[in-house]
Amino acid sequence: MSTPRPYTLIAELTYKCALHCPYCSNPARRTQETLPAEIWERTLDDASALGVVQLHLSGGEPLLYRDLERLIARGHQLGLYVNLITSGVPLTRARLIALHAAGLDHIQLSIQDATRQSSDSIAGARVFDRKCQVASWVHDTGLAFTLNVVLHRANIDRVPEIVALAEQLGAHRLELANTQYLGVAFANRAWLLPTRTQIEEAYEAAQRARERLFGRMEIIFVKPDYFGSTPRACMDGWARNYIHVTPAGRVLPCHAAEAIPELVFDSVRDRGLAEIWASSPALQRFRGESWMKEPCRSCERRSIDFGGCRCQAYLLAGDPTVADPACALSPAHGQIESVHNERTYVLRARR
Amino acid sequence: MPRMLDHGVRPALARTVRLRWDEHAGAQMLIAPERGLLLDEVATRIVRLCDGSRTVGQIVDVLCATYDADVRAVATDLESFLTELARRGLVRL
Repeated sequence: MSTPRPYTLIAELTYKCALHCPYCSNPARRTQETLPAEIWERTLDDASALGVVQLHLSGGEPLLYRDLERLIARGHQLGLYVNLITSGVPLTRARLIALHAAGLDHIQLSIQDATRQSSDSIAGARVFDRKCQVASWVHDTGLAFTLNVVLHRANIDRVPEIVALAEQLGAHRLELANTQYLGVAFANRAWLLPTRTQIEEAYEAAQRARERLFGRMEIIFVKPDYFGSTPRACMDGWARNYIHVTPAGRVLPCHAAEAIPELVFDSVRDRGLAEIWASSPALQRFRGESWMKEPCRSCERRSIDFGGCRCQAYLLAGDPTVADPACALSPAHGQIESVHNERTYVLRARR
Repeated sequence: MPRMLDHGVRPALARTVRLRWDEHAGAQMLIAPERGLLLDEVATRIVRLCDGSRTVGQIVDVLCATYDADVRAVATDLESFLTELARRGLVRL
């Protein structure tokens, strides 16, 4: 197949972070390695030439990457929409102003819950007040501002309070993202998974808020895929719209793909991004539809959900080439059904 | 969600949104967090008119003068276009 145009580059600058969230999307084993700014700059240039318009500077905590300002400036110079995905914790008011001046378009600030006690307990650090302070600075700068809250059993009942907090903090967007059960979150899923009723009530609360705030604040509700009968269109398809580059420089289709042992990902340390995007065997492996087996191969939804998530297929069914077990047509769908019946409240693998 | 748009409202691009030329598609693109929307010539014209100073009614008048089109047809199209942009968080109403 022809090489698709990517629209988004997710640049994970470092895995370092001050928080200890039990649903962290980073891999459980994290390198300390980071790329020099020159390699990142070259990678941004290459991404822009490939068609990328969105740049997400992420981590870990991207504020802990020393040359962040330089990368924001380069992204801005290329006309990219530059978004910083941050905990906010290491930020000062002066640095925020400097980031804005360098060309930052948007900041996505995480908060763990609507109350200090619960929020700090989830983050594993006393950071709630700090985050609210950072939010007020963001509001003052006029930067585009999304508040992000990852939902799970311990906070999902407080969607109305979270919406009220987002309004109070002046967020333009609120992203209520249910935990995706990969990486650390997979290990902790028995502790994190809400009940079906909790999800439904949270969704209803988000819908009511969306209606009330229509045209003023956008509310995004990302459903978990443990509760549906069809899988989500993971990353809009493997190596199709998104490029993900890790702190070590490896080019992935998503943050979790290194969990699949058979895949070897190329690094921007060794080859240019354009060449990797076009010909990396690991990116080609599940690109398009030719890799599909039944029930995906003949499924009418194969161009809608692309067979779902390859990492989840590997984690739950032990084989990254089969249908995502989130799909009711998957023989391993029972794996998802059975997790609802787990009654283990033990927190595992929390770093 | 179908809804009537008040013609006194002054639509503006959302704070989170920028209009840029997209070299690859050869068209203007609205870019916002985690999404982009390619615009044709008419849509680009409308988006440029959404600067918070004009009411929906005034935008209808400008478009009618520019494209020599029926007022009611323009109003209906504009309402559905702006409502859709607002639903996607691209325009504030």
